[in-house]
Amino acid sequence: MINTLPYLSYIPAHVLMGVAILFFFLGKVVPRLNQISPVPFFYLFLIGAFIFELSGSGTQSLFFDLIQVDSFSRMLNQVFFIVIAVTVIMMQYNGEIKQEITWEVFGLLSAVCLGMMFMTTSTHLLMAALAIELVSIPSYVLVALNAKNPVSREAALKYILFGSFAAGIMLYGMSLIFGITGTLEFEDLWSILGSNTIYDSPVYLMAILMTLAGMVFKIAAVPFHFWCPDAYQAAPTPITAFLSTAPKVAGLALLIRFFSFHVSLQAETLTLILSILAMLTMTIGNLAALRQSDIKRLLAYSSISHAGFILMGIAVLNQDGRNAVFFYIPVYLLMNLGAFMAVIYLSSESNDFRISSYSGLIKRVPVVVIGFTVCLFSLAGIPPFAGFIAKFYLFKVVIEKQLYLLAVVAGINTVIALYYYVNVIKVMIIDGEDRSTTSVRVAGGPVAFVTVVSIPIIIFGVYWQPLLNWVDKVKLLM
Amino acid sequence: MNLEGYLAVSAALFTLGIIAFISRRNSIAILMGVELVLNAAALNFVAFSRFSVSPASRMEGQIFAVFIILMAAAEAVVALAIALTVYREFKEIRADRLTQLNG
Repeated sequence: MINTLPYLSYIPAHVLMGVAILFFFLGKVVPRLNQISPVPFFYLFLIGAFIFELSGSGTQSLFFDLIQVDSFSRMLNQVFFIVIAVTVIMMQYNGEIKQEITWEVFGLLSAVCLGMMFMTTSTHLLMAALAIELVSIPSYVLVALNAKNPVSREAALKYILFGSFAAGIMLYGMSLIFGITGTLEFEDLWSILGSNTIYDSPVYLMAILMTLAGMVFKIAAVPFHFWCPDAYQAAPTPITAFLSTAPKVAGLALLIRFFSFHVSLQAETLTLILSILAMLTMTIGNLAALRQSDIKRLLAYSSISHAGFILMGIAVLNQDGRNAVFFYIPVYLLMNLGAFMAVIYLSSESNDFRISSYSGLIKRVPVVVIGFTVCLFSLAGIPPFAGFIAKFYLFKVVIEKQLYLLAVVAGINTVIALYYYVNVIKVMIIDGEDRSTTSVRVAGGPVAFVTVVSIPIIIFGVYWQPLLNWVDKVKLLM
Repeated sequence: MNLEGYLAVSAALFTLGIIAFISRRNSIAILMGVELVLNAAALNFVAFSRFSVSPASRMEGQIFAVFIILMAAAEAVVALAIALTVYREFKEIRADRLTQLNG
């Protein structure tokens, strides 16, 4: 009998799994538990998991080679913990989730986090499929929990129908890959796909494209983006902020790990597929964003187009491309979380998410509006903000790889994107005030958060060495 | 029966599932289409592992099939629960009538 314990010791994942089960159980079993806030307990466990993740070192294959824990997964998992902590802060300032179910909501959040940790670590298609489902299924429920907006149920239904359809396509693709190669390990399957003459046959392409479907669904790229605006608009705003950041990064991590093992034989076809996806995603996302009047929907389409930009870095399929993606990730998280915090602050009292309702806000809450403006300019990719540098790196790797068409399309899209971001800023700063009833609640937390987020966006735009150090640490060691 | 027979059945299931997903109006029927797609994948895995030569991948395919059944069950549970709340809210379950969100 072999001792299996060393293969199973991935402590942060155990902590998160324990929290998920415990919080669900307690929330259902203990009466009147909801009068106690779960936040301190949740933070305690989250910090514990963070410390375990921080103290780990080296590269280990665990769970019988289903997952691989290395510096790449460790850095990204720490990012997930931070994003979840920020989401919890957001939930404090937003009354869209009912108080009675907070324990269950935190259980769902930890289940999503566990799934994301497996997405960054998985080296096996079975684990990848399970991780994607583990992120998706609690997300469907989280979207449906908006007490102030009954439409969130409808959005969740659309989300789960699309999600399970994408998962079905992905599983069918995985079964084809299994049939072609006889293995499910990323490394083995790529080497077998490369070693024989199958790599340019239609079956190979179909299998890869179908497997991509599930991963692409998680980053909300075309053609699996239809759920995204509906879910983002109707979900509780903190959950929207969470969904637009952490699972997206997890999906990118999975894509990066999956494609990092490709052999050079397939590189051209894969680059072609991924750059077509990237071009379609950013163009469709941006064109749809142009005619949005709801700020959450606008940010949803903007996150779709950002997924397109990030896919550029994956499409070049080399270490430079991956580094550009790693550079983009923290910047994207800062800008997006900052923007959503500002939206929560500006809209939570009135529950009015129309862009027109923001007119003339600069006079009433100048600090938040300026922070929001910084985030939006950075999302648009205007110098001297961090978003510009991040986009610059992506363009650089794409041009070095001589994908000129991709670079041109991305350039045009940057200009289109500028229009709708600047429109929001124009409404807030230049337009006159035309509403008298709505009030903006004064709360210190969000103001401080938006300010704190916009400062590094400005600093990283001028001095980005800390980000390069981060990229150096997160690098996937081959 | 040889491998091609199983693959033909699973391809037929897959196609029917996609047709159901695209053409049906009722959310529950759409969900049934999704289940067909999932079962096509599971059938593929079982068939490939049955005709595989190496003993390791024989196990892998069957384990994957079991996990697909579990995932399908989990998804169906959540989807039906959400469909129930949608029905309570709007008294409607047909996807083409649920058009509060658009744009």
